[in-house]
Amino acid sequence: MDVFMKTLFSISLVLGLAMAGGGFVWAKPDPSHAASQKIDQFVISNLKEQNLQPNSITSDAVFVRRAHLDLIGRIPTRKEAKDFFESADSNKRHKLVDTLIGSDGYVSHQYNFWADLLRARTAIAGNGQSTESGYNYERWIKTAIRENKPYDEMVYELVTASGASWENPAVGYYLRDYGMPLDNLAMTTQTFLGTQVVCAQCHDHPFEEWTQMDYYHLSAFTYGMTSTNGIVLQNDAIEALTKKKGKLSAEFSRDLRKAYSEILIPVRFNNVYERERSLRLPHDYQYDDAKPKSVVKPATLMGNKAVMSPSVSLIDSFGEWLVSSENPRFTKVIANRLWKKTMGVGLIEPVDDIKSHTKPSNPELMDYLEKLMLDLDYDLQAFQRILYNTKTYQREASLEAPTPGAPYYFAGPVLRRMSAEQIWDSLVTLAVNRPDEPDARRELRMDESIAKVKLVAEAIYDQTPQEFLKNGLAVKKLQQQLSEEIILAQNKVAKAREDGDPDLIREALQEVSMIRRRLANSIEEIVYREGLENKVSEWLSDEGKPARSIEVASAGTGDDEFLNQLALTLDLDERSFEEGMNDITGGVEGNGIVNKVVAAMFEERRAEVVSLSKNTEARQKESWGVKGPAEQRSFKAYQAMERRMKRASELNSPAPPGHFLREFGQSDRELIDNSSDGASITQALAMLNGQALGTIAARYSVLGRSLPGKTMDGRLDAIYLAMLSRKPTVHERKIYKQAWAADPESGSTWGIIWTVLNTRQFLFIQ
Amino acid sequence: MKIDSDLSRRSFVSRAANTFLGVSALSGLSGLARAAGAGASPLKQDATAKRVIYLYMSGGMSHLDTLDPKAGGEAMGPTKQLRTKVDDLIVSDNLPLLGRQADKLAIINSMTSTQGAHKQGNYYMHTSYEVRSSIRHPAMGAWMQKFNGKSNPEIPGNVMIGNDSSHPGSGFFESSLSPLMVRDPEGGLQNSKMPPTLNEERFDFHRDLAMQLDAPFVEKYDQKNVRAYTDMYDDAVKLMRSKDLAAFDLEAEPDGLKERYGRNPFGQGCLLARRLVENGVNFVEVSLGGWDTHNSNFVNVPEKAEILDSALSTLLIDLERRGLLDDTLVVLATEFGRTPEINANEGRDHHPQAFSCLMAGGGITGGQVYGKTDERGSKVVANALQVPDLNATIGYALGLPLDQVLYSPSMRPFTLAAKGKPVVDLFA
Repeated sequence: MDVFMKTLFSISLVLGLAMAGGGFVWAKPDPSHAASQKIDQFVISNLKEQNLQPNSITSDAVFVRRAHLDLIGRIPTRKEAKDFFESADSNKRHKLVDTLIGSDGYVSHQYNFWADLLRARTAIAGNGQSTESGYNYERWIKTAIRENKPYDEMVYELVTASGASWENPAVGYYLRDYGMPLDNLAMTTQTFLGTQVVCAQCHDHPFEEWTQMDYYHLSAFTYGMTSTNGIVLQNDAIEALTKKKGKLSAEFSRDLRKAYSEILIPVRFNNVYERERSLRLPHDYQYDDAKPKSVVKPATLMGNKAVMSPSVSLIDSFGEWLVSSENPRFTKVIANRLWKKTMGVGLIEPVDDIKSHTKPSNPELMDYLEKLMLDLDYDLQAFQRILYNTKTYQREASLEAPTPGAPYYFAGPVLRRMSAEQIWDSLVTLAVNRPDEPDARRELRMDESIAKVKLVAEAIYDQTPQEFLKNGLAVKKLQQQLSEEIILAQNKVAKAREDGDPDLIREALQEVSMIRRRLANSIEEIVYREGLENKVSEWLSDEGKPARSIEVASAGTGDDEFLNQLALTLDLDERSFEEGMNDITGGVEGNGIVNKVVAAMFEERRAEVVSLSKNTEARQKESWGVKGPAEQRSFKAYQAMERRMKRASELNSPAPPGHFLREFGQSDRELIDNSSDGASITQALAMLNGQALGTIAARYSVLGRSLPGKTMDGRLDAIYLAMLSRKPTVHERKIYKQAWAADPESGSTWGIIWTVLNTRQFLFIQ
Repeated sequence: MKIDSDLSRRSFVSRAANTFLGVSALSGLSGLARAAGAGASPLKQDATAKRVIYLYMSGGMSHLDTLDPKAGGEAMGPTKQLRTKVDDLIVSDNLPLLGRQADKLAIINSMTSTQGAHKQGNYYMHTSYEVRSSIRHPAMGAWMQKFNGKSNPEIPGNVMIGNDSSHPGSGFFESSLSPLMVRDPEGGLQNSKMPPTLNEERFDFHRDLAMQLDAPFVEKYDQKNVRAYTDMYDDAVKLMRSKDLAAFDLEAEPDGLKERYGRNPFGQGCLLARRLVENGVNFVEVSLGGWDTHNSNFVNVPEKAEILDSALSTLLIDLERRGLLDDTLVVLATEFGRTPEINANEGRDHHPQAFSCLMAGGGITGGQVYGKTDERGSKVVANALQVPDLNATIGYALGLPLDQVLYSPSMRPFTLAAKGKPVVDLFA
């Protein structure tokens, strides 16, 4: 069946369910409500069988905090919590779920879920010359979430992705496992089929039915998905030369290839194409059914056979098989994953190691969820809306944690520690306005970086082999010249070192780095100038602008104001973050022609970003009454903090080791779902002594601004509402009163904030 | 200190394994592995070293311009050999201070790796296993702590100083075995000092308040992970007030010594490493980046080498003077070497076929060169040493059971050093 076919038939099925659900009659029939009820029935009858009682329904306070954290990944703002409490609408929980699903915050939070599952990293492959692909991939995932792309389509597009990262950003799926096609296949089955076949990469699976041959059969489908970087063009050029001049000397050929590798650095890790490549068994294949190193034909692992025909590419056949509704595990796995995401534990655990004898804790419910997912045509938002509207979700968290390995019967959701991202994003909520808004500065950087690689690649691929050859030879010659200069400079450094003159050493070292920069710039001149001239005039005419040369087009980039603003965007904290990610470097070096063109293309966008942030600044100063020098200082600190406090999904990821997010268990994105929620000393140190307090208790933080002029009691109320989404209890008030009597200073703003921040309940989702 | 979540994949799998596979216990997944499996290894010896300082040269250190210089020729560029007081032990003129301590060094000039890219090579060197998307292997520090536990329960047993974001950490072991990251050696342990707005009395007052306020929540949800956070706060405060915290503080070191180590992150990192091992941290890694000298090799290598030379030579003297060198193994490692050919940018490219590492202290016989490359430094011609063999040698010095199999949560079997063979000849 065509995966993109959406039929009316399935819609009528959902309506059918509404009728089958029975019992409760709504003024307007709501099929999704019936589905929620149906789920509750399965849970209740399962509990009855076990002689267990469901938990009671949560208070509004617990619900509003839980729903925000689960659906949009952060605690509610004071206003969001207050509005919810004050609403008299009997249907307000349902409405809240509706509002939150699909919002900006939802995209941000769901992104973390998908990035963990897909192991998406900003530096996606290699040693970081791949941030453009990482950016593109991140955006593709976010767009899929925002547009609610049906899950089967999403997976199909990922596993069949080919092309350049800026044309088809889903190629990130293969770039992520660059050079490891067999591993990538193991990841595909684990991610989408919940099935671990990795053992069979080296030998027959010891506990399951999969053989090494099965593994190779399946891998043969995806083995052709390879990353290239224009090598074809390079080979064409060298072939053309060989034809003309006969066989090239080893040295000449080596230097020429070196020149090409220099030219092609900026476009590495950006392309995936399906090549005809036959997979062979390993040299130590130990079974009798085939000889070592023999070629393996593609064949599927479970369910139906893949439909293969000469007119369909191998990878498309594979994709169709994988996401087919007939595939016995494809639907089950996503239904179970989302159940786990909602309730805290899966009906099948672990979610990605399903075995032939695996039995869900509630088989009828599992079957129903699978069917529901199919009936909804893999509409994940609709599916989640149904889960979040169940009574099961709205019950109190169970007092006891599920016993590992034993089934859990869902008397209510599980008590969970917030994820690293939820903790960070909650601090963001307490610190800055509009926490869910994407970061305009980062968006700009991403756009520039993507535009740059696209520009460079097009300028290369537009060349004929003859032109490319000419350029390669020119770069080779240039490298020879510069190499002589380097030797001179190198001697100078050695001499300066011998003399022990630090100034001379520095000067000589600078000279060397200038040579390097000149090389990068000259390569750009040689290879790209002509192509870029064409691109720029194309672009200018598209934009309806008068024709001008690149130099003139980029004249605006020397603007001091702009440079100041740019320096601001790279404030200290952010820079040290970037430095930590030492693999996030690369791209085109120097301030050569490519950067000039990109700068010119983004001149207006940059100006917009700058003026927007200036306007915001002026507005804030005005409305917050920033006047005296102390206030000015606090305001500066706030601005620096605002640039740093972006939601986790708006930062390069994973954060470097030692970062707050990593200390609290953010996944390193090396393994599927590799985040952790365990406690560690460094977490306590971060909460007790780290920047969290200064961030949320600052004069101009969201929380800080809500407190002046209030009585001690008023401050207490405001802080509790902001941080724990509720009023203090009578018991808590009593404790504070006693403390204030003993030590009046303990009622200080930061004193209360520090105290609440360091309660354990702050970290948990009840 | 660190408790895995009740619902972690690990516990589920171990439980499932018990139930379905008849595997009695996942040796090494809880508690000390040594206790779980008596597994006396024929390769195991009495430890000659109690702790390791592991210096990692990130980017691929040019063996030709550091530990394996040749007598000249086109491949050498301006780099020259430097004879030492030990016959046959020659270093490059980029490492003059280290050369003076030749009698302490065992230089290995026959390293060879299968991995020619940075990330893969770095991972292989740290874990003895190739990068796989399906599993993370533990690095040596985690293996060591898994087998031996900690010497000082008050402070972390495994510390990594530097900016290497690709460190494999504790791999499939519990994350409490991951190295504690210290990015700035002069900054001490991150967040270990009270906020300036608090004094000790006030700190305790508020903490007590938080505990009181939390009591109903903690009583209601008496679960493992909630209790873990109670313990974690207690441990954190204990650490803040521990005298061992001073181990992280370089303030106490004399200026003269700081100068000799080198006023740069790596030099100060080595000094911090010495303080830490003195205080019972058993595995400390210090990383120095910038060795990826594709360009201007003969400018960049001397610069890096100067930093390494001061730091390592001072470290060896400092350890010796304090009587620590005998049972502290110092290792210098890198992912691969660099080509004898000098490329078009006066640089050297990746060369996993042959490269050099170094060991000193911890029972190693000083003043020896192990293995040999050909006259260009291109191929190993004697005593080739694979990456797992180097790690097996470290494990051997520590007296760890090299053939004891530990299982990952996915039930795959692994050994420290992936069955590499230790070079017993390096020891006295």
